[in-house]
Amino acid sequence: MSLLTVAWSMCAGACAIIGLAQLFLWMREPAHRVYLLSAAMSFAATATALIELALMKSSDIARYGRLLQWENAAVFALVVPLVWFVHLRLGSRRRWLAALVTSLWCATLVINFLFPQSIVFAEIVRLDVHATAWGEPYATASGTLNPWVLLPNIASLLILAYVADAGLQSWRAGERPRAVLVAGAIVLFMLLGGIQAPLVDAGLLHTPYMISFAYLAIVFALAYELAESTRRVSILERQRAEALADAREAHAEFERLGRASLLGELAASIAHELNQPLAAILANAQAAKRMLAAPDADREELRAIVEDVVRDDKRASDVIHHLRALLQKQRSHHERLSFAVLLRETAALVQAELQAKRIRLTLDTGASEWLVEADRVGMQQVVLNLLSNAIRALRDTPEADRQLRLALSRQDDMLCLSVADRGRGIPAEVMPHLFDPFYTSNTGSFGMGLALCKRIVEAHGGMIGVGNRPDGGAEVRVTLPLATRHA
Amino acid sequence: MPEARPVVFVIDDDASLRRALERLLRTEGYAVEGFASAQAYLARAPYDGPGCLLLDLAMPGIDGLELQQRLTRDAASLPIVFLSGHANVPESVNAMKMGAVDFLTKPADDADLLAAVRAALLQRDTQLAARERLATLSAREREVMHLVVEGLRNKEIAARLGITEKTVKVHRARAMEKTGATSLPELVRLAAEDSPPSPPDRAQP
Repeated sequence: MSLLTVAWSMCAGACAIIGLAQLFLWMREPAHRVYLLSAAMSFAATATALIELALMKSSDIARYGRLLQWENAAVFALVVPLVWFVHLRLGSRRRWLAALVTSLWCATLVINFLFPQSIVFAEIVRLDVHATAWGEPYATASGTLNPWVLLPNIASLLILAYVADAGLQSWRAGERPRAVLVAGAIVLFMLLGGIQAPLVDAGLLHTPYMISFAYLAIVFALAYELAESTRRVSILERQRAEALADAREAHAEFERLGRASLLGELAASIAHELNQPLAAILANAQAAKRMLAAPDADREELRAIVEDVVRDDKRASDVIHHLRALLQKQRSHHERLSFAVLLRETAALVQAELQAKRIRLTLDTGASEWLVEADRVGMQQVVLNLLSNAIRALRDTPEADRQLRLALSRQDDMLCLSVADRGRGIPAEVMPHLFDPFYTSNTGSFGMGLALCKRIVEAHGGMIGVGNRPDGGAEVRVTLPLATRHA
Repeated sequence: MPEARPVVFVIDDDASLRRALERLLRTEGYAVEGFASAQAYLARAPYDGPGCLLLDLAMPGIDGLELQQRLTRDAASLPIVFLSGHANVPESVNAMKMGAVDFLTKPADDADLLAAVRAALLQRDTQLAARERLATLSAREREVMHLVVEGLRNKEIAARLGITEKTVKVHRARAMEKTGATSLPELVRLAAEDSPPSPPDRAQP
């Protein structure tokens, strides 16, 4: 059993497996060319190991020379991808150096095949057969060196310089583990291989060529670094996705809280909305009971009562449904809706509040066919918020001036909602903080109203602006893109 | 003379609730008239017969309390039962001070509602009866009665009206007799149903 054969074959096998793995990864993600380069290097290392094995078993000078030519070709196939791998992976600025190394190696390859005994030897005088420590024979060549061998040696030094420089840059840029692993492994093992081979060539060291083992180490280190960084990226991506999901949830919760606090403010108004139909149902039911107690119950009247009861029940459940939608933790759901209808529905919710505060509301809803692509609950929240702000703004206004105007208008392909009050307007020092969450100029409010409105409006591709009107009071303007007619 | 059927005026901006209240009241045999707003009620021809108001508190335009204020300026106004969406203590106190018969919260039970209406109608009957009796007084008797109610003594009244104390006593006795009042407090209550005459000399006290 030849230990040399076993060792070099295992080396070749390991390189091939790494190469296949990298090739597989590249096929899954063709955009990541580093995988392809890494695969090419691994297969080149495989070839190097096999040729080295053939070299040490060879007994014919001519064959040995040819094998040396192919050995150099394999080195070329490893070194050139390696340089570009470093370029891609460490992001070196000295691209010209990588190009220079590539051209030197191209020249080396050409020259290598011009000489029958490769670029290494001008003439191989003889093949020496040595014995390993355990007595296994292997061949090395001795003869006169080819002066051109300087070319690949210079190229190797340039590679070392290039990789070391790229590694240093990457280290400084903060990519320390990657710099150490990529540049460190390449420099260390290139040095080992690059020192051992010329020593063997010069006859100063009696061992077989062992470049392939250095290459195996390099290929392994690079593949490991790639896998590790892919793993890190995927962890980071997962964390990012989780953080995004958390943020989205927090936003939704904020909006829900905003709505809840808004509804708290409007509780009296909403209670009234619910109370009316309930009172009507009770009165109707008791009227019916009394009518049925009489011998000549009027069937028509009873039918009318039942119809009214059904209608009022629907009215009450509409209010509840509406409230539930506003309070629920639900994902936003975009639909095509008529803003005029939405405005009327929402204004109805604050009707009782307006009456109690003796505020006159003017509603100018424009054309009901002005549609927007929007989340109904979100839009209602915006309108409710603006109404509630305006109602609060009118708190200390003399009764004659308690006016609030809601108007819809159209500007090209935008819908414009204006909420204007005749209150005292917004003080200059408050103006810059209006959209800050938690900033509040009126105690008792949650203070996120406008911040939430802005978020919701902007999520719909719209804008919101606040200003004081020249004739007193404040105006909030919301613009939203109109839905295209035939989308 | 056959008693006219009492009329309950229902004033509520909620059409459905108004219809339901009208039905309920009709089952008790009342005539019912519904109005969607205080303005609509004010636009109606003045009503002089037995009846009362069932009045919603919160309405657009003139609200319940404001309507009450306007109506009670006139002593002949109908008694008012308030019906409110939410019980608001200051508002209800205000309404009761202004002479409301009752202040109910929606949804109101039929027994409470009808009892309140009955009480209001009863008050109206008393009012009408008093007014009928007051109508039989002569101008001088009325004048004397109001001054008595104001708390003036016979001598002061005589001085004020430029008549003798004895004549005052006669007018006073006749006013008590005609109105059927057996005591001064009863006379006071009755006189409240009548607006005092305002002779020119009463402008400056």
